[in-house]
Amino acid sequence: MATLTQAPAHISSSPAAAVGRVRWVELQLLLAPAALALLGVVTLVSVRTGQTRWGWEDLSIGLLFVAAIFAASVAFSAARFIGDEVLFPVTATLSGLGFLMIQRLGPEVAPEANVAVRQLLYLAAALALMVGIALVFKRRHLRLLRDYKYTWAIAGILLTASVSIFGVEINGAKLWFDLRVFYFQPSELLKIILVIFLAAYLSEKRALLAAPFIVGRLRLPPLPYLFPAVLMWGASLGLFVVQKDLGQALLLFGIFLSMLYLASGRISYVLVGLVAFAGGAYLMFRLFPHVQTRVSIWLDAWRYGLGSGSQLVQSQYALASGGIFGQGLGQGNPTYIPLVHTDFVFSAIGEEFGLLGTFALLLLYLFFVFRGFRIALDAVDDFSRFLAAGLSVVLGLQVVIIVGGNTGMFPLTGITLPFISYGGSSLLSNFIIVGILLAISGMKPAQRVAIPEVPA
Amino acid sequence: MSRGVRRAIRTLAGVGAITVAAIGLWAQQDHLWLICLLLCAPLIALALWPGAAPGQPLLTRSTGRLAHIVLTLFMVLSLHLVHLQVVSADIIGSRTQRTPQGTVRNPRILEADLAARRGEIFAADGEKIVRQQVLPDGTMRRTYGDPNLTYLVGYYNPIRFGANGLELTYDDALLGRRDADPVRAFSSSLLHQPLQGNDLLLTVVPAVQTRAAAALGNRRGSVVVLDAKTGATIAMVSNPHLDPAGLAPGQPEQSQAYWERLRNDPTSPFVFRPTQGLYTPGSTFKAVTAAAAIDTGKARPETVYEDRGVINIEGFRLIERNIPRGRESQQAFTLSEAFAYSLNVVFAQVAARTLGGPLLADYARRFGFGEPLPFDLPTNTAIISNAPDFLQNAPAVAETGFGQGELLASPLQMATVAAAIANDGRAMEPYLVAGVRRADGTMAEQHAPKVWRTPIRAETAVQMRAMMENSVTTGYANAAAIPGTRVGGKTGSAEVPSGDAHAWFIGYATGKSTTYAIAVIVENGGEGSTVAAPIARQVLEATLAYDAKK
Repeated sequence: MATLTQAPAHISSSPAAAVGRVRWVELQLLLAPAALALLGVVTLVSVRTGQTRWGWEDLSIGLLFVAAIFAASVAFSAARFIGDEVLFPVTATLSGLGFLMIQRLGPEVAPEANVAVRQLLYLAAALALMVGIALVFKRRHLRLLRDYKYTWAIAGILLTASVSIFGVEINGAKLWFDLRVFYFQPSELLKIILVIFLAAYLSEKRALLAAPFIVGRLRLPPLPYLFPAVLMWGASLGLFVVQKDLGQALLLFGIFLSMLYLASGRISYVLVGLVAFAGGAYLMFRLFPHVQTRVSIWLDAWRYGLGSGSQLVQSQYALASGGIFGQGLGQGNPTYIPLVHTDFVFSAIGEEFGLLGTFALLLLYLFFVFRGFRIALDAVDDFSRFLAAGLSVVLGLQVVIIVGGNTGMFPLTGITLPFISYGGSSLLSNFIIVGILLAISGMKPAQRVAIPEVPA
Repeated sequence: MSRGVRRAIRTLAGVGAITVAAIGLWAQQDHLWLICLLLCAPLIALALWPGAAPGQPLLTRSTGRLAHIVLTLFMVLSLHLVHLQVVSADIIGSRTQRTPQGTVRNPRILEADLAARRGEIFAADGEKIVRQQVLPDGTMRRTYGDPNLTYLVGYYNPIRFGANGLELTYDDALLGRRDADPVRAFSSSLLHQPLQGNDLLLTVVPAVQTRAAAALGNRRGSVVVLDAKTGATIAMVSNPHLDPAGLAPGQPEQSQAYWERLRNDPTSPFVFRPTQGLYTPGSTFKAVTAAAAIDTGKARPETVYEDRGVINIEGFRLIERNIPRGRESQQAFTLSEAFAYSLNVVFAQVAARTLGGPLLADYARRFGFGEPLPFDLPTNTAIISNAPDFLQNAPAVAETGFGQGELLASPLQMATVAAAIANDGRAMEPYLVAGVRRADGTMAEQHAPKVWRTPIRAETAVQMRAMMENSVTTGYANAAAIPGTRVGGKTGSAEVPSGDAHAWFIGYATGKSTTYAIAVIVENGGEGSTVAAPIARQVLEATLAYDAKK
């Protein structure tokens, strides 16, 4: 039996593609991040000088940011791009907030490094990359990703392996390449490659995934699931041990479980996977001392409050001091947290913007994820559906893991807060995600292909 | 599964989630909270689980469900944030922990303390003992006045040494964290204004304190003067004492060196003698013994006791050394005479035979022995005996009766004994801080005189006062006599294991408006009658002079 998949009642946020249309919704929505950026810069200047007078030269860095985001939107309009008009403003707001926090923290934390300017440069490059991907990546290019999935997978594995050999060690972990201009973290690309591979693999094998794999009396997930599942389980735990990065392992396995669930619709597979991961993690905990220290620092951070637990303890002090309304931009003391501008920007936001700020931030991320899912639902074929949903989940899981780590819910990991943490690789890879999502949302709906519905 | 059942499950799960969250928030326990979060997650997921619309393709359904899982995770995060930033914010923000590397504390609190306009401290006549100056560059400096008064206040160096004395016990009030107007406190916190502290108003009188310090001189010991009717501390001298100005911030090398000197000083200047110094009271405790005998009706001031110069109580042989010259043949003395001449043999009998151990201990407790003495500074509790069964044999009771044994008392404690007798049997709670005054002039706290204990009846007190005044006019406390004034007292020379006896004097003097009680001790000073009593006279004269001018 085959039934055509129904086209949803409405298609993304824009009416039927009208050639030469200006993206008004997007431009209007961009007023919000523009206002945020400018007001934020004025606030920072006022706090720094103690006066309410400001000059246009103080605003220059904020104006550059506003120009960059509007330029991207204008580029979209000029190219008659019909993709989603809401996703980019949300992204711009998030990166605007991040940029504001870097401006606030940079001068105090790393005064010689000019982090604000560097972040603006990274942003500009990332925006350009996003626009490029969104405009260039068309339906026919999906084939490149889908058909060469094993190539992509091997490239990803090689990249990860090579950083362990050729990379530089920072803070006890070899996760970066020194590219002279900036430090590149390949694990940021790995998560995208993994989603591409899984999307291609699962969308291809969909028909085979219905029947369970029966071993004696045991109803296991079918072999096409079981085989990569065990592989993934082993690979992420291995990564965890070798690279001492719990966050990366959690993220990758989480992505895998989510896409598994997407493809199969069976929660039982997910639960089995979770149990297996928990068991493996426990085993790692018993076997490896560095895991034990991470866990004991997490569970009793105050006991190590002057040593390795100081980040977590200061983060909690900062969040508590924020209260509901926050201390005010530039008026808190987030710089007591070590490495606040890379690892703990969320706590800085929590201290200066309070509970209202952290809730707003979470809402923005949630909105991003839900928009991504919306794009997935409206996507032209199964592969791009998986791709869009998978990339959205990546972002959502990243936020959960990093916010959970900052607030003491999970042990600390090395994952960055998307669009907000300081770092070139993080910005670039997250804007690549936005670019792909926008590209998928812009694929012409009229060429929807009839997909055989898999009997449940 | 029908619609109704599904809805019921969803509601139940929602209620369950709220309940678990509420329990976790209320319990305020780190690990329990994490477990509650872990439990909340599936409950929230269940509560929000979308039902499947018929005919929906698999991918659509699972995408929707995945979205809800992400939503659930975000809701758990929000719950945790509510806990951190709202519900438990104060507790987390003020949490400290001792670790091998040092103490973990919130640096923001220290910053706020250092930027606060800490309150100033005033003596009874309005003289400023401690002043808080705002320097031109905006920093704060605490400056100290009369060195005879400043050690009552204590040192304050939050980064280096911490604080002691009133600076410690009233730290909250001095910073304005306590007793602040709530509306003003909220608005000033929103506006990032520094804390505005409250001032302390003390009861101590500088003129009397100076005289008492001069009278005591360089000798180790203490002088305490109380207003017997209210409990207010008129003077409180301690030797040795530390100089808070030497430990103030801004002079790191000198203050550190001074700190080391203080810590290595064998005379223990950190021990505040009036409240924390515990000494054998010696014959001054006879006031308690006598009061017990009279209050129970077992003896009267006229009751006669035998004193042949030596006594044997169940194997304990005591030799009398205090018989006044020329009266060796008297061999029998009234209680009043024995009180005036501090006759140990008589009081051994009073304690061991008239009263007995339990009754003596009971009256000691009534006078406050064995119980923490309430005061604005930390006090050490007076001790009747170390082991609870010490007073079960007669020799021990006898010794305790004349003020030796295992008795230990602080000068403040003995001053309260004298004050109780002077105040018709009512011992008022002693205090040093009359009130806490806000920056706008209103009083945040004001100490109202409170009866602490009533050890004896008023009639007993009258008879005790007669005996004490007799001790001053005819007895060994004569050196404390002030012409034209009724002064009562009791001297003591407390035997100690090493060195000379402690010289004690407790007593009272009646002024124009009120009666003042006093306790003087000179460590290893020798005889109370020759060493402590003259000091008491000088101090009481100064006190009465102050009283006359009030």
